Amino acid sequence: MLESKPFIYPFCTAGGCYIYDVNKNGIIGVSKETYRYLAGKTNKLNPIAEHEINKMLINGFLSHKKFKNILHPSSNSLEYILDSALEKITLQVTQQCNLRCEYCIYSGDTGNYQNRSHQSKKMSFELARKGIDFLIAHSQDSNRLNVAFYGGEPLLEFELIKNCIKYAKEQAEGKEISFSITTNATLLNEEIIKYLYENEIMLTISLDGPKEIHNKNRKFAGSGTGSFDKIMENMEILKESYPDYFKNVMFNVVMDPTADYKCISEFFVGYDTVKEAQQMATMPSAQYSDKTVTMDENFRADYNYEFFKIFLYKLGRLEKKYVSNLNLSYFGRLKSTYHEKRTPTSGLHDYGHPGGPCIPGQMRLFMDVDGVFYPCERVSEISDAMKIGTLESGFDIEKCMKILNIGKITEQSCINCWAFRYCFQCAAFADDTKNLTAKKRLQQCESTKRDIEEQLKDYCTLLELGYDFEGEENPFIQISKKEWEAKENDTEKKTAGISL
Amino acid sequence: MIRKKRLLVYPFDNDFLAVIKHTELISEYEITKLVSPNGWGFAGKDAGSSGKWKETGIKVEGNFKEALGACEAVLFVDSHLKLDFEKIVYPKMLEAITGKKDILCEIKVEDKIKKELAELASNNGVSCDFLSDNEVWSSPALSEIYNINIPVIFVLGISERANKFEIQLALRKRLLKEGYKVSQVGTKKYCELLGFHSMPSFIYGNSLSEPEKITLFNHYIKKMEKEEKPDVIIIGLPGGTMKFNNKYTCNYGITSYEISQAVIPDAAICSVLYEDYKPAYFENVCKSLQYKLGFKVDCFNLSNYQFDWIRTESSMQMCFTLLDSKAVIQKIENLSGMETPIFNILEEDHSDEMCKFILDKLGSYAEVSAF
Repeated sequence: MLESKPFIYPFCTAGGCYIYDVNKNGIIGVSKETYRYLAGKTNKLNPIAEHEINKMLINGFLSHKKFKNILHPSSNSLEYILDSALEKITLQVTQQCNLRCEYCIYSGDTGNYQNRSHQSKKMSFELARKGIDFLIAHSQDSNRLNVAFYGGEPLLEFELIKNCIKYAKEQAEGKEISFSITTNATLLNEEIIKYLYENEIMLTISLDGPKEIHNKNRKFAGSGTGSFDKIMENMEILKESYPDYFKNVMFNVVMDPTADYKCISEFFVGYDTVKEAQQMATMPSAQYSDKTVTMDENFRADYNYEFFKIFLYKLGRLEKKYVSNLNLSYFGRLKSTYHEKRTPTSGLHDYGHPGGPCIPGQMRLFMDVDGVFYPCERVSEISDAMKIGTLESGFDIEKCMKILNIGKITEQSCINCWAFRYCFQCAAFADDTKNLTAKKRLQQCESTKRDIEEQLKDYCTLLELGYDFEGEENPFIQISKKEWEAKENDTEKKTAGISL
Repeated sequence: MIRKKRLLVYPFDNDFLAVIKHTELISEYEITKLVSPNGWGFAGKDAGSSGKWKETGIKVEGNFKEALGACEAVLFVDSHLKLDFEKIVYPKMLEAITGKKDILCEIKVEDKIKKELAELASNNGVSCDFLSDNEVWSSPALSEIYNINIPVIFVLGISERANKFEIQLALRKRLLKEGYKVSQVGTKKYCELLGFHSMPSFIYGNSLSEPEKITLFNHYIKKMEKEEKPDVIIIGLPGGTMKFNNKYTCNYGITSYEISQAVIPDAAICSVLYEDYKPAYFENVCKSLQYKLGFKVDCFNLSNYQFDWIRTESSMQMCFTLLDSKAVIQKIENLSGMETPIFNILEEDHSDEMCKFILDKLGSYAEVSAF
């Protein structure tokens, strides 16, 4: 019945069978018979399936078209974007840190990571100033700018940070500029807290959970004692002095997959000092790590059960108080990716690129203590492929192009991959710290596709159970008579006109 | 010969570049200083670089106070880039007036501030002119509309940021050079400085109903035809003509629709954003505009602004990437052989060709007109 193999991905949930049509970017509910036929589980085509398939064909579904080649749509404008649309610069103000953390994905020198190691190098104000100038000179087309401070532990260089903020505010006249710091929070004191508050600096604090879990990995350099008590002491000062500011503090939780998930989750739901602040959970990064991150069985069960609770809460069958904020962002991602941003298309173009790479340097340009540029702070500083320029020479467009078009190194696999639209593998996934390799990139394809399949299934399951993704956004269409009269009185007066 | 007043433009942005390129159209002022807030990234560079245009020979400055001394008047432009009026612009207005400079203001300001500025200007013996802000419009006396008997040229854009104003000015300059008497309605409030009309404010206001706006605009153009007796009328259609998607609606192209109901053009130039188009795109735009607005597009301009879907998605506001003219030319070359020609207004030879094409088009009507 079908002349050629359609570019689709058939899948089933507990409540139904579906076809994800890659060309149309559409999810179609189908009968079990149709699913079995399109999934290649049977060659027999019964009348129900034949009718359904015909309907899909009439509506332009089941096309076999694929990209002819891999090329990121922003390739032609990359040079222009990097010339005038930068939004952020992250300054590595120091490579030194007062902690030595097992799971520090940025600066681990405990032997697990190959990114970099703590050194005494710090950034000079002269270099930081030039970095800020570079951002301003290359951001004509951006409305908002952000300068972020990174380490090591950035608060070791508090005076430098203050000078940078003063300078950036003066130089960025006419643009909305914001600042952010990612810190371990151990060096906060009243003076620093007051300064952060007064300058509306977005604060991200690394905190892994309750004392015994946090202290297992996040220890002071030298003494080796845990940093939990010091952080809590500082949080109390912050919360008491500036309660509203505290609510915007973001706790970045790197979850230890060998720990007790319930303990971590309950801590962030119930611990007075932190429960009101924002929380964002991540697993330790697998990139650039010599160790494989393996989830403990109990951890996996508890972790997944939390997603189940989120769905129950969203379906109105569980109160919010029982749900951990840590995993709540998953639902937001699901809604955003598969409901809000998934727009139907007429079909694939001749070229395109899998999801994943951002425009290297445009959104999160990272500059190290020596003025070398990287696409963001998460990539390896020892990887030559990730060095995308310097303050002196500007961007290396050729390298940026390679990072942007990382799918080119696995071209055939990407062309044939049903999940390419939702792929999240950026160049860091292919970086073996020497080169960007197809082997490394392909190693992670299976788990990426599995994750995407699970997300599609979760999305469809929620729909099956009656979740209304638009339910929270009822349009407001009424205005009171009083408001209407006020509006009427405010309109222009009609006093003269045109006579011909 | 009257000596032109030296004019400072603040805050200069890439939208104003078209005026710099056609500065000879300004009779009263000579643009001597361009000042931008430092954070916009234009300061210290040639003005042309702000729009990825050729060099203009005027360097953008960042220090308003210093530049002020070399001027006699200041034009405060309503930039498409956001700028805090109270903290940044207003103090500069006060500084200009107390420095005995005339001010021209395109920015819409509250009545209270307007009064304060006017008083201060009067005390300092300088003028304070709020552009296109003194108009009062009534409902049209008649509900019918008139035929316009003079050739009308529309300049429209698929969206904002499509180099429309540059096309309007290039066309004006060329037609004047050829000896035509041109009446024109443009899409900026400072059009009067360039010798033609700004779009009448009722088009944007809410004191008239939408049908009244259509009728009144027709009467407005008819009056222009009768009083100015032009050979040709150029109308720049404000904003875009269609929505991008459900999030970015370009005001649904409502103003373009209303103007095209009021006046039927004899020629239309449509400017589109830069993109990797296939010929079918232009055919579809032609069809869409013909059905929606009721006229045929005669030629396209490919602008050097590209809509940036990725940044727009992440920043929740429309973002564009500026490309240089070379990229536009290359794209046009790839699209050669189309029925409806495509030009790049930023290139002089293309600009000439576009104007010639439109004039030929209007000339061909004259050959077959029946009385």
